[in-house]
Parts: sequence; C-alpha cells; structure tokens
Amino acid sequence: MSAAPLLEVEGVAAGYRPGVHAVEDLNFAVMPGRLVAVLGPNGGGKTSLLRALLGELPERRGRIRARGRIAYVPQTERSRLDYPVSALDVVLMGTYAELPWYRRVGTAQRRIAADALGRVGLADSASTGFGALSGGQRQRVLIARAVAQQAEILLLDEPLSGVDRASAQRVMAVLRELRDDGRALLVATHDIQQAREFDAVLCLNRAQVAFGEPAPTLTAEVLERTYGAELIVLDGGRRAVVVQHHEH
Amino acid sequence: MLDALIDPFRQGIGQRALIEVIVLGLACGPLGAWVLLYRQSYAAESIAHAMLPGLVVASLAGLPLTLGAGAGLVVAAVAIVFASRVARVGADVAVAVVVTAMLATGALLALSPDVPARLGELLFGDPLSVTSGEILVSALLTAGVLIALGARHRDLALAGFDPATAPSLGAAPGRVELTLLVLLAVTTLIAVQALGNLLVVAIVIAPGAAALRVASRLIAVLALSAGLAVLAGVGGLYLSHYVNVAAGAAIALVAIALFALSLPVGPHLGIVRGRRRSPVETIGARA
Amino acid sequence: MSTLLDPFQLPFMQRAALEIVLLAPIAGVLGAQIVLRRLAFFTHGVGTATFPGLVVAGPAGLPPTLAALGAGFLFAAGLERLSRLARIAYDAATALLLVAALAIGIVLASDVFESGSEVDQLLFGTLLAIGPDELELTGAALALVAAAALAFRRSWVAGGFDAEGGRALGLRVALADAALLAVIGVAAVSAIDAVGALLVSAVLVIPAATARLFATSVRSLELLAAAIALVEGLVGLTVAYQLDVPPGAAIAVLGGAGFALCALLQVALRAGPTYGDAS
Repeated sequence: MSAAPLLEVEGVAAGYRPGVHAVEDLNFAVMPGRLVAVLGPNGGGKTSLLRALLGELPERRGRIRARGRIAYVPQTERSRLDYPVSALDVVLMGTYAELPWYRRVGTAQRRIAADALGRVGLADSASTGFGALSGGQRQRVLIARAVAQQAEILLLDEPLSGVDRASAQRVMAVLRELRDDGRALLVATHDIQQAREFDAVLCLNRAQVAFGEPAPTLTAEVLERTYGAELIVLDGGRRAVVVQHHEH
Repeated sequence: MLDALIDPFRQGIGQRALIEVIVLGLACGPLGAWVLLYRQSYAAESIAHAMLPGLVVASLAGLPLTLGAGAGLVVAAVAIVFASRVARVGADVAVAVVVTAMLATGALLALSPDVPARLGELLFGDPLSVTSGEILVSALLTAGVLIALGARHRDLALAGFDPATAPSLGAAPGRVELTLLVLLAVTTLIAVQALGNLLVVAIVIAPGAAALRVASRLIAVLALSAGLAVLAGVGGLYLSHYVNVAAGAAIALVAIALFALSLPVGPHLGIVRGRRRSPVETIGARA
Repeated sequence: MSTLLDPFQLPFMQRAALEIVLLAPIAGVLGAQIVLRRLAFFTHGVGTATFPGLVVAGPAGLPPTLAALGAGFLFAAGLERLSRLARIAYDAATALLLVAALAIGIVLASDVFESGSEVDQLLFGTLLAIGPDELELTGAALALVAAAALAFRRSWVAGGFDAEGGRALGLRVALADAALLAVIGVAAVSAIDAVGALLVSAVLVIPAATARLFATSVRSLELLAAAIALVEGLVGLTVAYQLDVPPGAAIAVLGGAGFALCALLQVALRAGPTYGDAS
C-alpha cells in the first residue's frame, strides 16, 4: 500500500451561511484501499461533510487535500424514475465531465461504462430502464457511475438505507471490491452495527467526535457523544441502539 | 390522391407555410421534451402570453414583430424574477401576476378603439401570412436552437436527471436551467408568428409529451418529438386547407390529437411511488 | 370627482359595480388559498377552459354560464384523470388541456361567428354583458364559496400547511381539497363576465398576491385581498368606461401595477436598518 493518503482533511469547518458551520473540527486522513464509515445522527453533518469535500459548500475553512478524483454517489431514494434513460445511459454520465462538448460519446466511453456496470454485477441490465430497476440495483448503477468517473475517492450518501437486507449486502460486497482496488471510500451511515464492518469510522455530531478503527473507536462514551440522548447502550457497551427520530 | 396531398402547397403562400411549420417543428419538438423533463410547462405556456404587448407595439410602430416579441420577453423575465425572488411570492404566483398583467396590457393597446391592430392574428397567429424573410429568420433561429441543444445535450441530461450530483459530474444545474429558459424564449419567438401567442404551447408541449410516453431513451424521445412536431404542423395545414379552419388552431389541435393517441401506449416510465396525494397536492405546483 | 362617479349613474355600470362587490369576498377567501397552495396555474387553466363553452353557448341556445361551467368541469375532470391515471405531470396536463380548449374554442368561433370582436369580449370581458342573470350567478357563487369556506376552511389551512399533519388531526383533507378545486372553478366562471376567460387571474390571483406581501396571517390575507380586489375592480371599471376598453384588461393592468408598487414599497421597507442581516 502506498504511503501517501488519498484524502487529507485538516482543521476544516464548513457551512451554508456566513458564520454558521454545519460541521467543524474535522481532522482525518484516508489511505488508499480504506473503507470508512461516516457515522452520526440525522442532522449531524454527514451530508455537509460530503458536500464540503466536493467543494460545494460556500463557507469553508481549513485545508482539504485530495490526491485523486472525487466522485459522489447520491441516495437512490432521491432519483427520478420518470427519466428516459437506461442503466448504461446513467453510468455513461460518469464520463461526461472528461468529454469536451463537441466530442461524441464513443466506444471508449461505452467500454468504460460497460466495465463499470460489470463491476457492480449489473452487466446484464445495461439496457434496462433506470426506473424499472429495484432500489438496490439503482444504488449499484449510481455506484457504477462513480466508477466510470474513474475516481479514486468515492463519497456515498447513505447507500445502505432504503434497500432490503440482501441488497444492502450486495452493495456492501461491491464497496469492498472497490476498496480492494485501492480506492478510498467514505460512506455515510447512521447504522452503528453496519459501521463495525468498515476499516475505519468517523463519528460526527456537528463536529468530529472520533476517528479510527471501529473496535477501539466505537466506545460507549464516543457513541454517547455522537448520538446524545438518542442512544441506548446495551450489554455493558458492546451493543448500542439508536432511537431514530424520523422527520416527515 | 397525390393531387390531394399536393394541392394545399401549389401556391407560394402554402409553400412558405409548409417550410415554416417544418422549421419550427424541428425546434419546438426536442425543446418541448426538455421543457417537460425539467417541469417547465407553466413557463412555456405563459412566456408566450408575455410577448403580446411587445407584439402589439411592434405592429403599431411598423417594427419587425420578432423585435417586439423579444422585448416583451425580456421585460417579462425581469418582472418574474423580481416578483419571485425579491418580493418572495411563489414562482407560480409571480408568473400569474406578471403574465396576466402583460397579456392585459397587450389587449388594452390592441383593443382600444383608436388603434386598428390585428389582435386576432397576434393572439392566434397565421402560418399562411409568413414572408420569405421571416422564414429565413426562423430557420436561422432554429439552427441556433438545435446547435445549442446538441452542444449542451450532456449538461441537460445530467442536471435533469439528478441536480444534486450534476456539479460533481461537470454540469451546474442553475446555468443549465437558465440555458433551457433562454432557448424556450427563442423557440417561442420562432413559433409565435405562425401559431399566435395563445397556441404556441401546443406545439412545444404536446409532441414532447407524446414522445415521452412512447420512447424510453433520451435520443429517441428527442427525435420522435421533433418528428411529431413537424407532423402536427404539416397535418394542421392539411386540416386547415380541407376543413377550412384557422391554420394556427388546426396545428394546435393536430398536436393535441397526436398526444391523445399516445395515451393508451404509455407510460414505460414513471412508476409513481409514495403516499396518496390529495387533489390539491396532485394539481398544485410544487417548488 | 363627479366625473369619476358619473358613470355609475348608468344602470349597466351599477350592475358591473355590484358584480365587483360580489366578487371581492370571493377573491379574498379563494385568492388566499390559491396563493398559499400554488393553484395559480390551475386557476388560469380552468378560467381559460371555459372559452369553448362560452363560444358554443349562444348558437346552441344554452345559458352561457351553464356551458362555461360544463367546460370548466370537463377541464378539471380531464386534469384529474391525466395526472392521476395517465401519470402526466400536473403542469404539463394543465398546459395541454388549456391549449386544447383554446384551439377548440377558436375553431368553433371561426365557424360560428364571423366577426372577431365577440371573441375578444369572451377572452377579455365586457361591461355590457353583466345583466341580472350574471349577478344572480355571482351571488350564488358567493354563497357557495361562503358555505364551502365554513365547512372546509380549517382543513384548507391545516392541509396547506402540512397534509400529513392535517390527516393526522382527523381532518378530511382530500374531500376539502376537492371542494376547494370545485369552488375555484365556479368562482372562475362567475368572474368571466367581468374580466373575460383569459384574465380570471386578475380577480382571483393578483389581489391575493399583492396582499401576500403584507399579510401576517391567513385571516389578514383574506381581508386585505378582498379589499384590494374591490378597489382595483371599481377603479378598473371606471378606467374601462372612460377609455372604452375591456374591463378585464383594465383591472388586470391596474392589478399588475398595484402589485409592482406594493412589492417595491415592501422591499424598500424591508431594506431598512431595523431588519438586520440577511439570515
């Protein structure tokens, strides 16, 4: 494994309005081939962190250093199903940024997109309409699009919520494979049990609470600081349950 | 049979009208599909109304109608942005206020008894009145619209599909939407002469809506939409020739009929999810 | 001063003024809901859709209001069907039905009437058209709107704020909403005589949009909108009489100017030093 981290974040604070930071005190580095869970309550700044890394938040302080291209994978619950595109068309969108407007989408781009679809196990669904796919399949198509961007760093917003358990496991397997290729992946999640399966975990509650390997990091004290009063600790700290307050 | 097909276009008037509807169909069809995908139908319907005062003033002053219509559009755009952004009423209310006021201004100018203007023609249009010069302008503008749609195709596809991710894929949604509205304005400018400012929306929206029900890939949707728009224009000219109804209204009716034919076919797309909505939630504009 | 009031000595102007007085409370109650619940395009659509009904009414020997109501009802039913069953986006469906209605109306008009002036009157209103029958219709519409508001106003307000919450509160949001769309249709038809099919928004949307700039509650929004509709309507009638133009156009232009003035005023007030920073 190479020595330099793909992503370095030093003293970063970011927000949407002047003087108000949605998330702050961010200090961490991600090496290539690492699968990092970004853990925190709703409104804890997970999405803000991802948007700050993409450079899309107007207010930002500190230093973000990325050695490689960054791709973003949105939640599929937000995708449009009435849009006339096939799975392959969506993955092809990943190649658009690199293609000048006067050049047509050619065989090279098609091969990149088909390979990416193969990587997520959907080679057979290339011509299926995006809206006709299941939630888990749509999530994998969006991941394939990030792969087609040829990004070394992938930011995923809650890819495991809103899909059934079997689909979540397939998505997880895809994420592990992408990690094994030497990419760095940051995966927002609010599921503590899920986070334990990652290489590292970043705990957020408006600010960075902790960062490190799951076993030593996810202590009862860290979880309580991350989730505040929403947390119920079981089994003397070995298990924890989060009481989710879903807003409508 | 062949005679019956050729008959409407034996004279210069008919030939010019034929070229005009083909040219404007080529611009309106694909643009309309994008307008629908970006949920901008209200803008498409109303932007044409806002041209009326400009059209009336231009026709009174003997200026080219395109110039007056363009000026009307600029005023309307500025006023709508002011009303929705600065005065912070909703976007749909802003459109309603500005467009109603501008439509009424046009009617006032045209209907006040001292001013003999052809309000009917400006409201409902007449493809049989276009001159060769106007066709040339239409063709140039159409070429411009098609080139812009081609050049911005990938940005439009990206930002329409998911605006949140589009920036990281190289397309800024705000800029893309602005591009679409500018192209909509230019297209309306092309079509208003033939269809009048009340009926323009038919040939913009109906072919796109039909194409979206029948085809399931973007390129197919855009091509089919262009084809249907041209078909509506030509079919409308036949209808007008043989049934003797106003040509603009005939084109609008054929376009709507083509859409109605597509109803039993679709939709391939649009699996509707989520909770049941009340009638107002279904019909009320969403931000 | 007397020249301003003089026109109202004439019987047809008195009827027109009475029509405005009857429309003002409707503009207040329904205008508030239209503005708050984003129904401006629906209102414009249902008003315009009455046009073919009005065109056929004369030659077919039907009462124009009945034909207009029928056309408006067809529009609303078609919209509901297209957006729910055929899954067309509401705005696309509105645009398609609206332009279909206009085109049908024009074809019928060019067959039925030879002159275009009738069409202008149907689209932009006329002072002479308001007879006792029209006043009775508007009175009935007002009674209907009042009854609907008594029964459903609470559901409209709660459902507009948050439909889920409204349902949870045990309110019949769907029924109330259907009633709202129906009375907007009736109100649009009753406004057509004064302002014409194309300019229904001049009465039902613009006054409420103007009131929205200042109102702090639904109640004040309704009252202010009704007052603005009354003033703009009466002044518009006078202008229309003096300049011999359609009253709908005069009222709409006044309304637009009034909105612009109020918006500028409100922005100027808001920009004052007491308001603080942008957040």
